[in-house]
Amino acid sequence: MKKIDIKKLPELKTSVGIHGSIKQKEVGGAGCMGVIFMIAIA
Amino acid sequence: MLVGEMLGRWLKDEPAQGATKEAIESFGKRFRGSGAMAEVARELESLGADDAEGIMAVAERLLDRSEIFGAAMLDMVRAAAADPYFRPPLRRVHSQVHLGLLLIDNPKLSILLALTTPDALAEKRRSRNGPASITFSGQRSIFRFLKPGGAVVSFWEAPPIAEGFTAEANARCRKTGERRIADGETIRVDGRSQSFVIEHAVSDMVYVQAVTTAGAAPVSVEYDADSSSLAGASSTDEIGSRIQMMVSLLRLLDRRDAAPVIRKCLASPHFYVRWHVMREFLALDADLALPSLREMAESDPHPEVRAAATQTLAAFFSGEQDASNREDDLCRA
Repeated sequence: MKKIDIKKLPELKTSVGIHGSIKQKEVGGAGCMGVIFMIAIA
Repeated sequence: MLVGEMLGRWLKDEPAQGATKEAIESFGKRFRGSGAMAEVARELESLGADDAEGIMAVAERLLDRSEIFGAAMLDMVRAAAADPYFRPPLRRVHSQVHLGLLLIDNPKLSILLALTTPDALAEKRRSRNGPASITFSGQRSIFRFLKPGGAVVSFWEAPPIAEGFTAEANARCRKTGERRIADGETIRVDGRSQSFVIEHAVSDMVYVQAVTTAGAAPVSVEYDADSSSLAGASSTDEIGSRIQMMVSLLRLLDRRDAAPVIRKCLASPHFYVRWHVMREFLALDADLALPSLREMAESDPHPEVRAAATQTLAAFFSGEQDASNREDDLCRA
């Protein structure tokens, strides 16, 4: 059985975080005004 | 716990507690059984889960009847005035800048009645110590500003977020305008390509927000507020993220018997889930993953997934044969 070290496998150029995660704080738009992400983490 | 005199009396008074419970349940029945809410429930029931246009049309018809929200608030205020322990049987949704009650909490549609104060907006800006984002939610929403509070809003656009989303193609967003919101104004935001930012407000903003996850883009996208360049993307699909986590756990637990299930997860509609699952599959048992990796390199609809699969084949499998027939030997536990 062959296993490959996951760290050696390529990543996509476009990285995508898990549902509800954010990279930076929002400045005050639709996301922080309402239900968009809140539903997921309430 | 310090208990005040009034609360102390209420905690010892079972009939009073029963009356509070009755008031809460009674409000819930009045609100959800009212003509408008019952109509919305019926209409949503008749629509398909992916009928985003139909769902938003239902939401817009309800938002057009804004007197309903005032009446519901008045009902809650009266109930709270009569009994300080009354709590609306509606989910409370809040963030640093808003406080709201979820009036409709349906898998197809969420409708929130909310308040945002200028102090909260200013405090959020003051307390921020890192870069800020303009977020494109990937979801369709409608905002009805019952009381706009003198808010000035900037509007933003970005290339539409679709299943073929790449950081390269969606590198930047742009500002398309800025203006003051009018009393009773409705703003429709297709979060796949549109967003807005409240630049400032002079008094409390009261609004109703309708959101559907139907027809959502595969990711929400953040752009840096200063440079307008892409800052990051996140999944809009909670199930997809759970699949990613569970497949990672199966690999860490060395559950090779889960290979048939993992292979099914490779059929995810989302490119980032498919490649995440493939990486885990290769780390679990590369021989079993090989046939799917070859298919992925050949025909995955997303160019970055095809490229990563092709790169993996060249790096780890040059000249190897498939070992897919070994799966018959696996435990199916």
